[in-house]
Amino acid sequence: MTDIFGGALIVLGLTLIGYGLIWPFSSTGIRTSERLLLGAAISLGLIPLFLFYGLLAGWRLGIFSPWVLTAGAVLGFALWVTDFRHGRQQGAERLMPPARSPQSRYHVLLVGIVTILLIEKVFFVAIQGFSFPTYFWDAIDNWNYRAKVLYATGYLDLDPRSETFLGGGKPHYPMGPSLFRAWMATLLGRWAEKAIVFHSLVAYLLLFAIIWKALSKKIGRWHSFFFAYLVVSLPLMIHHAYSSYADLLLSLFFTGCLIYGHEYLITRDRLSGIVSLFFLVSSLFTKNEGVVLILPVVIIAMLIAIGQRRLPLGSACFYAGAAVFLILPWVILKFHFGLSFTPNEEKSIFEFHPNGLVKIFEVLFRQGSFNLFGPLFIVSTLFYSTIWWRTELRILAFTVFLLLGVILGVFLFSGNYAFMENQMTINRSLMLFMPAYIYLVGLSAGKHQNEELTVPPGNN
Amino acid sequence: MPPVVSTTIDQFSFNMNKKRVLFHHRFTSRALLFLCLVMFVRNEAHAQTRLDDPERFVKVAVTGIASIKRTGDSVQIQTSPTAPQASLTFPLGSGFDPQKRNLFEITMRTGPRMPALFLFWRHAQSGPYDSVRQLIYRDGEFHTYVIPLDEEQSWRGAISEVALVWDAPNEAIEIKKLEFRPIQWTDRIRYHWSRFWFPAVLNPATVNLIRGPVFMGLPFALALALVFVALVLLFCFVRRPVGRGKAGTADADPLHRRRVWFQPAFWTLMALWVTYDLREAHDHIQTLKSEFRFYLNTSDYPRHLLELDDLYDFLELVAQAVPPSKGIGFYSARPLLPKARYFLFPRRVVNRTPDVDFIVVFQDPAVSFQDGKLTEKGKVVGDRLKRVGGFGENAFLLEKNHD
Repeated sequence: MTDIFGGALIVLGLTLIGYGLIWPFSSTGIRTSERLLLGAAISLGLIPLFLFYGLLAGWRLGIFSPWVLTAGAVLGFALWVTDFRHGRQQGAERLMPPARSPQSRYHVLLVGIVTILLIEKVFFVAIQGFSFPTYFWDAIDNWNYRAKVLYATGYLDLDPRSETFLGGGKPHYPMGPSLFRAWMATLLGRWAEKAIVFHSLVAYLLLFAIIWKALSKKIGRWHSFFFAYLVVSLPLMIHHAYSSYADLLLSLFFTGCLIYGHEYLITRDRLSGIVSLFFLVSSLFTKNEGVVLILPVVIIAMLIAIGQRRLPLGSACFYAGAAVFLILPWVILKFHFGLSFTPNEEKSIFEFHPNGLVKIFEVLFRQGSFNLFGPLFIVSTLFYSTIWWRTELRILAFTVFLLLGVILGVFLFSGNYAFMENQMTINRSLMLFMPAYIYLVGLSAGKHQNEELTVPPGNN
Repeated sequence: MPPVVSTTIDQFSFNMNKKRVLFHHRFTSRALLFLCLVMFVRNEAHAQTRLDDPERFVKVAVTGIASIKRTGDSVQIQTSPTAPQASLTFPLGSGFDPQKRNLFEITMRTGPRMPALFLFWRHAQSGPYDSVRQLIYRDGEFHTYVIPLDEEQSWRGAISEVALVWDAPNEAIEIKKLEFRPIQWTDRIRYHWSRFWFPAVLNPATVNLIRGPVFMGLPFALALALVFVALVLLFCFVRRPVGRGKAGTADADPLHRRRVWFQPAFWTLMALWVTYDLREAHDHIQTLKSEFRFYLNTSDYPRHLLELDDLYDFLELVAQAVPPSKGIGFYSARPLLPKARYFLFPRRVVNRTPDVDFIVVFQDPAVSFQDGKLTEKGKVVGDRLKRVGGFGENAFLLEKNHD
């Protein structure tokens, strides 16, 4: 129980630190409660990066002591109190009229069932996370093992012949999740798995909360509640919430990057742009997919936005430049030691695997990993494609579909097809784009409703 | 043709009487038919082959089983702690007709370590085996499983023997009923219904995919997707717009026309999504039930967690006994080295080596310890060892005796 309490305190501290981190940036649309959520999410990704810089400079993990956390949290709390007292509340463009309460009896029933199902999921995830030692393979073999080694050694071992080189485990994987967990253990003074599991669990809760919050500004509280539910009720997502893997974190960072990046394109809200940048950087230091898949996709999307005059060149250069600059030390380190960005170099050669199309159908329509995401994808794409084409959602839709295309391309057009055939990574990779897609559908629903409301008078 | 309707009271009462008589006759004939069917079904139901009757049980061949005994109405089996698999093999006489005994039914309960039961059969004593796999509940309560065999291509001709195989060492199994009998249509419903509710428990190795439940032979996700498509088509047919709509009306607006089908489609999809999610919640509850009973809410020690068995409690025991600076040689027939390496860190864990201060053996049938000697497949790999802890024969810790 002490460990759980300790873990909760660390998360609270991080939330306040994150709040302080984004405090200087003004916003027209992001309110205090949303800033707190973003503070928590960003600190999950940025703090390990700062820890990495420190360790690279030769510091020990213990330097980032509980006093540092406490000082940061107190500062963040003071800023939050100031904001709260001065009522730093701003609004946002709403696409649908605010739905204050469920609109019909069936709606109430659905809200009730969905709420019960959400409570069940949180209960299940909490029991699995807090009651059992680390269970699944990748956490045992890499993420948590590496964290345990880093916690025990307390410094960054840069000797490639050593068993604890970059924390041991799989050194070519980014260090973000492991470093964060090692730091949590350092703060608690012991390797406490019940506290460490907060890292996965909080990412799950934040994914729900951020999508709910971000969408509710656009389509109303109750509609966004359903869309946020769709994201966290993906069966595979539920198991990743306690598995101590990094796929869910990556999904959170990519979704956050897209939501707030798109918001910046539409509203020029500075904080949204900064938050999107922080999410992007976090994703680059979480899994190799960040550098290999997400960064190119985001850069291509930015180029298109520049071409459409939606994004000033200066902002784009700052955004991409800052992301590359912040992740550069890690990339240089990888090149220096010859660490690859792919699990298997010889699988990177070009070869087409048409059988993969059948596998994709199987994954989306026959398996139980994603509930009814397959039909939802087909129906919503058919219905909303015209809206995507006509409105400012185009760039968001393009980015989401580009990422999907890149993910599928990796499996269909290279030797990585083996990971699709043995089902080792295809589901986890698809999980990366799903929250962003569901957010896009939620926005489109609001946009459609809005168009419905503003049909020219002659048509009514 | 329009239906004929009686227009007068007389005609009406005549028709009614005629209908009553007809109804009476039909009822009697149908009741008789039903009775015959029930009797036939009952007779067929009696044509069963009980494998758990005392006479047949004497002839059973066992492997990987530590003890087997009959008490009252059940058979209690304890699988061996050192064998990876346990099996009961039943020889079948020439009178066994697979065409008429095409349903296998078993009522049993097992512990948490056992994810599935296999039914094997073969035609000749030395021929190859065919098999079916049956997922099982791991909650320690009695459940009845029915396996239809009529669609199995090889369940034909003269079958010489059948075998029940379980993949779990050191597990208790209690069987109340074990029989072959003719399949009836109710069995097929029972089979599909029970199969739908089997809880899927993730493999402890990975969290890469979830297979999902199966409904009437179809993956449940696909079944719901088909229901969704059918409902949307039906709705489109019922509410299809006539023409393009008059100018100035809502029907003329393409957005409105799309909304007519999209909103119901969306809410239908939501309802089906929630349905799937409710089924998923059932899996969670079943998983929790097993975990609470055998791991979280038990005074037993060591505790058992699904396929990992008592590994966690065992590694904790090892961590308490071995100083952090010492090396450990780890022997297991299962791919558990990364788990040992992680949980025992900072102790150095090396795979299958006796040249260290401590040796850990966990569920490795090829390895045994006797008189201070560790033997692997009959060959001595380490001596001057003493046992310093463990759980029975299949999980123990040895220390090198430096005296």
